[in-house]
Amino acid sequence: MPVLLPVLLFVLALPSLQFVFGRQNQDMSAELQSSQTPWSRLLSSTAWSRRTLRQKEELIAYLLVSPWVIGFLAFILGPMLTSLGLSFTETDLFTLEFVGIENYTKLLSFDTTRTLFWTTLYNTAYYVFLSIPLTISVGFFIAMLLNQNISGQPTYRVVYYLPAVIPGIATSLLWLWLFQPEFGLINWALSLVGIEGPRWLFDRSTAKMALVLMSVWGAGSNMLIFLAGLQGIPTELYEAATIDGAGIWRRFRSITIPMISPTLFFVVVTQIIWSSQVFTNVYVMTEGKGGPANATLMMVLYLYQVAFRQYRMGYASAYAWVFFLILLVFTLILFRSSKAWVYYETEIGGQRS
Amino acid sequence: MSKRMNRRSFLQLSATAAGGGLLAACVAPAPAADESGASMAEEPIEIRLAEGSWVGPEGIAFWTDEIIPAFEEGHPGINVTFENAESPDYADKLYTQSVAGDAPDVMFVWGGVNYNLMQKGQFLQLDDYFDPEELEDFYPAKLDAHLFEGKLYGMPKYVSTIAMAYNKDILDEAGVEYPDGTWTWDDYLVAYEATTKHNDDGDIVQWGRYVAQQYMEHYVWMNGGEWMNAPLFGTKCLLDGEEAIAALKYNYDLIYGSNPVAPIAGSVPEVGWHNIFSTGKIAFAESHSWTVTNYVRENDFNWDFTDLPVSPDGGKAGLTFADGYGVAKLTKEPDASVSMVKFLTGPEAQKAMAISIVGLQPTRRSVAGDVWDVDSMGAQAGYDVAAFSRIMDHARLDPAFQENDKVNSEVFGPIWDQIWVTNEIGLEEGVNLIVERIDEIFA
Repeated sequence: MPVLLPVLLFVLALPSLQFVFGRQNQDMSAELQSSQTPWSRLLSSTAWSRRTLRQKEELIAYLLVSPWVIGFLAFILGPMLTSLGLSFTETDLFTLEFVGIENYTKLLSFDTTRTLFWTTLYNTAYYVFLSIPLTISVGFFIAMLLNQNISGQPTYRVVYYLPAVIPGIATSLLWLWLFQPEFGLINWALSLVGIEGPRWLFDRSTAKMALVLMSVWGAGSNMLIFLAGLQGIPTELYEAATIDGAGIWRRFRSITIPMISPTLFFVVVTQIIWSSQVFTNVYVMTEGKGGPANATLMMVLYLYQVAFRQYRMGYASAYAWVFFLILLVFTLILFRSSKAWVYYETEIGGQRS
Repeated sequence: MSKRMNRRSFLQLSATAAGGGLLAACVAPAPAADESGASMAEEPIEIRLAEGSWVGPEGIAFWTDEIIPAFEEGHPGINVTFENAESPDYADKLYTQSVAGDAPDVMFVWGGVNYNLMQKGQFLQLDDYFDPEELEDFYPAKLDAHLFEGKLYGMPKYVSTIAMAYNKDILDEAGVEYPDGTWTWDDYLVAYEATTKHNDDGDIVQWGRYVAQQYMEHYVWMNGGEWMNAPLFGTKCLLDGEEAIAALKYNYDLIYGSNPVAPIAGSVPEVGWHNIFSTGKIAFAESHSWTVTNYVRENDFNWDFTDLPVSPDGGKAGLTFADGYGVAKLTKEPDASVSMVKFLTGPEAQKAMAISIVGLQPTRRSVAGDVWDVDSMGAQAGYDVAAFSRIMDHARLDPAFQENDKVNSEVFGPIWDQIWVTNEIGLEEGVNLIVERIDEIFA
């Protein structure tokens, strides 16, 4: 049904489109206008044939993109603006009271007995800044291996990508068992080398690290993107460098890294956004609580708790906007910094051609 | 004159259309009426029932093939549409449906869902529909869950309460007699210690007791303490009282005392506290009445239920929870909806719930004695499920603070975790911190 909604909105929009386009045909007789429906006028051969080819193409293009545009306006921009408005209110959706910026001041208060914002920000930052280097380096390493000419390469690719397509809830339950302190596979493996495993998800000092380790499970999706990037590097560059006497490390540093940097940039940006929104695994593995003692209470999980358990929609909206702005700032910083470390093949002498 | 459509006008147009579409979608459909404008008396009344059993497809079939047809047969002219309440986002769905004025006419509600919607005035007041005499057949603690400012806003569906499950094989091996209703905390402690088993390295491999740290209220009550300053929607935590602390300490020492007999969180290989007894590594565990059918089917060892421990002074107390039906305040068919609730909470449906695969303990005292204690699956299998009925005479409703979800997730839960799960702070220190923080919230 949600899929059909944009189509429905498009259908609703079409007569309006015709109304606008119809204004172009001022010379159309009043009799004709009154005898025809908007639909028939739009599709009538007279109205259609009077348009230039460019106008026709333009109209078709707009019609084709309109489902997405209408969907974006109705289901993304609309709710975003609504939440911005709600962020200045105290509302449970049954009642609503304007409170100005109170939600924001409460949220950003340094009195930690009044807000969990700083706790969730720390937890999320911890997760993001440890899991991203880990998943990217593991994904890149696997991509490098799979970029070699080895037999059974497609099979390896499928195997490494498989975890990325397993539903998050199934993955979470699987890792819940792996991290089981007494009988889990991880602590059993540690015990083989004489290490007493920690209590993982039952200990505040290791709970977040458990989630970071678990994030490696999703390295397959990064691997796929890196592999595509690696395969786009012209082999002539490596051949020329080899002839010039460059070793493996030099070829990697001077050819692979610069050539893969646009891919790396894409992966870093998307990973920051996705990792910051970590939810499913934390929700499943901590029964929706972010425990123990808020040690894994991430920003989106807390947002969910405030909005859909406590029904403090105004506060939740303010929280969502602050979260959005934090992500926006990080993304902008990355885009700004990209000029210094991302190399595009079309650049000549430091300038893009 | 040829005028091209620019990007801005296209976006304006799209936004207008989208807004129009949304507004159109928000308009409630007009009720059907005949040509004369009068309502069609001959048309059947349609109501929606949101229900669930959480025992698989047979549980859903119980409502769709058994209960609803039985109701429709006894109430000609009323058609019931079943809506599945088992989805994880059921609570969110009910809330948003209520906001939109489109909640199911009759809905299964529990805990926070019940309290939230009741406090926000989303349930039909039912006092006028039920005789006080009829209400006397229901356990008072169950009715308490649906009382707000002295008015009745729901009816109990079934009883969820706690009794003690014990592993007969472990007790036999340890030479411990089976418990009876007279055992005190100290009697149980002796049994816990006797049934806790260590391996050659000194590690515990079998536990005397499992302590569910989320359900401690009955210990506080049976010891003469109080959890909060009101049965429901309290604004002050009273756990720092002497009796309450003593009751909590009894359980705390089972885990963290000098001679531990209960595992710390994560030491038993099972997901979900209610499944831990089924591992066969625990001699005693307090279990809910809704676990009976699972235990009957899953436990591959000899076991039984018995009464909860009695405090050193002989105090008894039980714990029960809010599980009931609410009728949407905005229902167009209040009489038919209330008829449905009366049927669901009536003797016949209560009996069916107790003896079917659903296996729910009846909320009517008259049905509990005849049906649950004798005819239900657990009773027929030879288990003392009557322990759940016996404790209901002493049971109180699981307390919920005002703004309970906020208090629990931001204050009570995290500190409680630090006491019981991570053991970072001591019991008294943690309890005092909880009391202090809750006082701050409601100051």
